Amino acid sequence: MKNLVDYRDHASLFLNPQIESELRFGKGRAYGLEISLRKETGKLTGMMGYSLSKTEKQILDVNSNRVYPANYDRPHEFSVFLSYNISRHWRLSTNWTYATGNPTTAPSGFVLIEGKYVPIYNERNNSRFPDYHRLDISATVGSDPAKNKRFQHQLTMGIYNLYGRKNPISINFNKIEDSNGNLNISNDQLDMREIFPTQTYLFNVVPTLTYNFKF
Amino acid sequence: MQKFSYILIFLLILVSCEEIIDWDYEENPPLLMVVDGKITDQAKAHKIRLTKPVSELNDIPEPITGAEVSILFKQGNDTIENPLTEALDEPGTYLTDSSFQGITYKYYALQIKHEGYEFLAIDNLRESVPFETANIYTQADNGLYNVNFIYGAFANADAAIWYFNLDWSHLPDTVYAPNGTKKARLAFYSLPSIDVNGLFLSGYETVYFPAGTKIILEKYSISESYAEFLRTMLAETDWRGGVFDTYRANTFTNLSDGATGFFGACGYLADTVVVQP
Repeated sequence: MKNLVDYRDHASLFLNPQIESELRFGKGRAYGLEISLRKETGKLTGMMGYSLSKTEKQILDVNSNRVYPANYDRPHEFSVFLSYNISRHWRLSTNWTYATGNPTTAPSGFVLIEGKYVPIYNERNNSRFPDYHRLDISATVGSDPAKNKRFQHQLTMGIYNLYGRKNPISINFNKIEDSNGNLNISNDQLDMREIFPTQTYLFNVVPTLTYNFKF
Repeated sequence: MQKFSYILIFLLILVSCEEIIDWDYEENPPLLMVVDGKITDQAKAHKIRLTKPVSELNDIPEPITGAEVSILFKQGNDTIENPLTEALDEPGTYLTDSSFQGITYKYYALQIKHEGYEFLAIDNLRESVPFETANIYTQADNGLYNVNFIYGAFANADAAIWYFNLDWSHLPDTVYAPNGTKKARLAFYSLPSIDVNGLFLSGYETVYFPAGTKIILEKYSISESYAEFLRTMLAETDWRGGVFDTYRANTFTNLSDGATGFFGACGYLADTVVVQP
């Protein structure tokens, strides 16, 4: 891949009249293989897929011009989807997804400046979030799809992330815990309370309800 | 479509959770000279602090002692060198002579010699710009007061660091700052840029104080490069954790290779206000 565009470190983008000066250019490469299996007949149908890949970038002035894993580099990705038709009206489905955690830049230490612990880094994307995985299940009830009716409808009840996997989207090093147990940022330079590493994640166990109407 | 994006971002903020984790710190932080200090246009002993990086949060940095530290500036065709002396009671802290006073618009260089290495940083001393003190505090629903930062955190041509030094230790009230004392020193920043990660940060813990509190408000007017250092430092500290986080990267510095932090030259003004009921 040639002519890849990225931003310089700490780019200032908002209402910047010289935004082009914040861009940096370089190259990248992506390679890998993908395997998938499908079963499309019978009461039990499904699909299974696996991909092995590597994606790297090299951008001028970023990461001291060295090659680094792209933000979306996930060497292993695996997913399995199964669906079972209980009757002509009822169907149960499940989906399990696994992927290597996304790359992240982990601090190699901290410096104390202006009363703040400022992380220092050796290399961009030198670490990874914990592996991503989750299980979803659903039950669908509705019109018989085999019958060619003018109007068809379906109601799907499901649970997203059934076992409540906490897949982090960011890890930070700037929070204190207040007396109510809330995580906050302190800007008091006399504050000597302990600062904690924290992770932020989206979606714990989420019930879902979908209604489809086809005409 | 744009409305949908806003709704989606709003929902993501609503459903996200944050929790404390264990983190495997690297054992050997990089070898760096960490510089934290500024000189001003006030005649006093100015402080420059030299430390080493730490491997974990909350570790106390080891001071760098025995360094040769000087501040250099041009006077006509001559270069004047002002050597700093290390404070006896505070290792790693180097002090100018108490009569040292920066001059507006002059360039100042910090020179550090330590264990065969030499580090250099340059900054331009900006003029101090006067400020108002009306409305710098506001009464909260609980009857106490909190700081009302009225000076503009973003898109501000008058870049500055603001310290609100709060002290109500002379009052009998049983109100305490979250740090457990009756004093607090709150830092705010006015920057020329607009940073979305800063605009949407999750928020500072509020410090409440009673009527009668003495506020010493200090303003350090800073150069463009000092503002850039602060912008990148805040992007790595207070502003991190929102949906508009930037890629992680080392902060901007005006120090030569092998050192980090910032040596600043600032215009300084201060005023005192007592919180009126």
